[in-house]
Amino acid sequence: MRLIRSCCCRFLFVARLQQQRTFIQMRTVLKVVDNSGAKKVMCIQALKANKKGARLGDTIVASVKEAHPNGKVKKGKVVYGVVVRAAMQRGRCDGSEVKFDDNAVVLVDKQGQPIGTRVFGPVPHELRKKKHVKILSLAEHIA
Amino acid sequence: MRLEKCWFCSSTVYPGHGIQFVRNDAKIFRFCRSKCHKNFKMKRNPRKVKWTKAYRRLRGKDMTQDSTFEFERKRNRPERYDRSLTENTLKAIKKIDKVRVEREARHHKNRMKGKSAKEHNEAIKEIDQSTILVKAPSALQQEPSLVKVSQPQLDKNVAMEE
Amino acid sequence: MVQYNFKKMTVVPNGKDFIDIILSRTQRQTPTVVHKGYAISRLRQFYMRKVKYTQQNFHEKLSTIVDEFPRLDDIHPFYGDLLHVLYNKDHYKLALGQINTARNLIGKISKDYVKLLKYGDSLYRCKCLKVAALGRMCTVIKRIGPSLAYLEQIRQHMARLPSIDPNTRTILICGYPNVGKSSFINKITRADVDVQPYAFTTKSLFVGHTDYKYLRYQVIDTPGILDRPFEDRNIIEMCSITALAHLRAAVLFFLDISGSCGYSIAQQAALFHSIKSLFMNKPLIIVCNKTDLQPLDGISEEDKKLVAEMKSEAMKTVIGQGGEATNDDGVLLTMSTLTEEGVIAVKNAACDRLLNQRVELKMKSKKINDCLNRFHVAMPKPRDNKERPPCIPQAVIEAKIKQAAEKEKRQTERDLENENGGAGVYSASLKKHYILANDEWKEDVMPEILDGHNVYDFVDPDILHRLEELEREEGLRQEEEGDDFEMDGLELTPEEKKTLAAIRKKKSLLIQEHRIKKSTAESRPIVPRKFDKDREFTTKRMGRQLSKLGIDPSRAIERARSRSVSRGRKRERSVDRGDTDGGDAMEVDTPNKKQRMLSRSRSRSRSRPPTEVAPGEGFKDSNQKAKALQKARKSNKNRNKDARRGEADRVIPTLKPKHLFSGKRSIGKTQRR
Repeated sequence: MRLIRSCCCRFLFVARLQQQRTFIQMRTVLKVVDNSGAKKVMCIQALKANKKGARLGDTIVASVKEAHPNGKVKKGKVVYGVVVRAAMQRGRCDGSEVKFDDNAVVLVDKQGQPIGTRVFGPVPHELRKKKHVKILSLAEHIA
Repeated sequence: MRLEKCWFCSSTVYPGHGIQFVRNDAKIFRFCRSKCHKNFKMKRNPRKVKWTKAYRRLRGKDMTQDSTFEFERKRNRPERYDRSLTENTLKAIKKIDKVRVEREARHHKNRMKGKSAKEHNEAIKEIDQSTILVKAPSALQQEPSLVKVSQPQLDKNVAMEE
Repeated sequence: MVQYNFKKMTVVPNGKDFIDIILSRTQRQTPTVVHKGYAISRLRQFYMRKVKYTQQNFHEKLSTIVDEFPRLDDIHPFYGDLLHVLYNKDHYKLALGQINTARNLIGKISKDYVKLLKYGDSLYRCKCLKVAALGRMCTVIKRIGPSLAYLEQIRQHMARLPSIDPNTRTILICGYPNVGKSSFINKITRADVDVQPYAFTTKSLFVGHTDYKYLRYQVIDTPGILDRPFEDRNIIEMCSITALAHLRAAVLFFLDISGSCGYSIAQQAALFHSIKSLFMNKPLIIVCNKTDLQPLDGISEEDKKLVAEMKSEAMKTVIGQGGEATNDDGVLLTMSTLTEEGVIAVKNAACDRLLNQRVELKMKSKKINDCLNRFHVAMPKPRDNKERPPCIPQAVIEAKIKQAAEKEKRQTERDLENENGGAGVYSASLKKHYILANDEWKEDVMPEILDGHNVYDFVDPDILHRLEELEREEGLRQEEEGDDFEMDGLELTPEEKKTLAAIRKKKSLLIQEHRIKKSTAESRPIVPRKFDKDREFTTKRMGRQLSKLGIDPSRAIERARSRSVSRGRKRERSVDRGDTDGGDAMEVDTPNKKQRMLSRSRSRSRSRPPTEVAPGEGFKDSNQKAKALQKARKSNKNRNKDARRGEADRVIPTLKPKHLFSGKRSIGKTQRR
């Protein structure tokens, strides 16, 4: 009886104010913030990241879902991308945390060089630790 | 490492504390604790939330303008290191802090001026009007100790009723 | 200068391929869709275009063949003769002529059929005409099929001919078969000619290149020649003869003095004499080869005589060119290609003589005057014997020395690293190159945070000045402020305070009460007070409250009582008792305690305390019963906590309700279905 009661309690535990933000995992749709030609990509695999998925600064494999008509990258292509913004918070080296408005990637090739020549919006300085210095140098703002 | 100010409550955020949110226009919102973060997420205006510094400043509860605030300012001009200057600065910070605390105390005192008189008046008024809750008027007449203050008032009330 | 390069000639397709190429091209490059309904002019035009286009293509292709194959009369006589020797001039000309004729024929056919097409009156007619035209053109090509095949073979052979430039400096090697001509060319050039110990190893001309005095010489290896009448000579020998006849070159006549080639010196001498006429006006050198087997001195007298004879003949060529008769050392040379003895000497002699001859010829020609008067070699003479070294200022020399010294002295970061334990151990100090007023400060660590402030934000060169100002300002303010303490003598007396506290407590109580009522009321109707639902407005309570307010409640209670409606019949007994006491029991203090006790015991039935032993319960005494009760309660405690009904309640609720944990899932969330 008691058990059932506790179950019920768990069921009642709902209704949060905001959506709970979580990892970037398979089927997560991300915005592309460079001029490679892709507009939106869908994550199909997180590379070498946590088992649960990718976070800020990790590299993912994604498939292009929307693209500009004459860009470098075409719709349906499988591409690599670095997560430069994530809505889920991520710890910084000093113990504080940082999070962003949306989930965004910059497309890169297998060697980690960006495909586009611009990067829009803020990017975190943690990319330096991941050796994406090129992206940092292209970025408009560094947070 | 810098000490930042919390966007919501304007308290100091020490390194390793709190969370920061970066909006897409690259504006950074720093929060000292989850309380402030949650309030931000609820879209509350810090000027309307009583416990924030912004509220207190706006309502004149805290000092807003003072020459001590002039000393602390983010300067974007690099200064070449000078040991004596640093020493002086470190000493000066203590002194400035002391002055500031004194001034704040004075500000508080000024703000509280006349408060006790007001409270006193209110207390007397309350006694006058509500003594009947604890003592019946007939009982009061028998007990002259309490009548001292309230007697004239009572008379007035009676007069008005008539 | 005409370049003789036969390697780049286009392929000549055979008759069938030719037709296929042209027809498929026509099919691809001209429109293919046509309808009966088209205007007749359009139909005619459509087919005329096809015919014309085919003819054009044929013409183009055939023209390239005719143009690309060299015309024997126009090229250098050496090549002319060579091609004649190799492929038979008549045959060659005939083939090309046939191609030319075919071209003209096709042109004529197309012209005819285009004319006919102009009068074609239906699609079918026009089509038939076109088919006929193309068919005839193809027949023409088919007929010249053998010629095309022949030309293709020639083309392939010509592509493999050595690219000999007839006008450049050339050294020609000739002699009997197997006398060591190819060995020699292998020695002096990088040409890799096949050398084998049998006659006619070399079957055609070979070319190599060598350098002498910074000039490039072309060395031509010819097949061996046999001594027999000109008409009997085979194609291989004829190659050599053509080369000898037409190239203006230095000729090396190879003589095998050992006779190991299978021909005696006499035979070789006979050959020399028979082809002597070909050596006219050319520098000729007689080379005695294979001296490793037989030195020149060791041959017989007759042979010596023959050699001398040849030498004298060769000398004639020298004299013929206006050379000096006495200079005979460059005419007869000995060498051994096996031991490489004298090989270089032969080469040098040949090159020298060739060069001399060519220079002489040039000098004789008319053009040379134009060139000569352009040359002038200046030879300045020193004006005196004074030394004039370059002048360098003293300061510059000193500066240079200083610079050099500094370059050596400067210690790089790498040197430092090596001195202090190498890479990985030494870490370069970045603070080293700071530009500060005092070098001691370089290693200082500046505190970043102090008392909750960023120290950087306070750093300001005139902070002291400003601080002083602030302190002065503060001092002034304190002075003027002085002691304006707010003196508020208004204090409440302790009694007043007490009253106030009581008032406030009462108020809060009232509020609380009200709130409780409100919160528990929920949706119940509000009942008027007079019904006194909870029976709380008792006289007792009234008395309590009134006495609290400082009023004697007795009269008020009495009044309330007197006005209250009596409920039913009064109980006899109590009335009786009341009667005996003579008044209201509640109101009057009973003086007799015993009486009161008695009345109480009578009015109330007494309950037993739980520990009291009733007869038949089986307990020894009340103590034992109390213990038993305690034990029983204790044993029940856990059960009660588990909300079990009794000992027999052994229900285990389903820990995992099946409907929540298994089965196929239909629409909805995992947790809620």
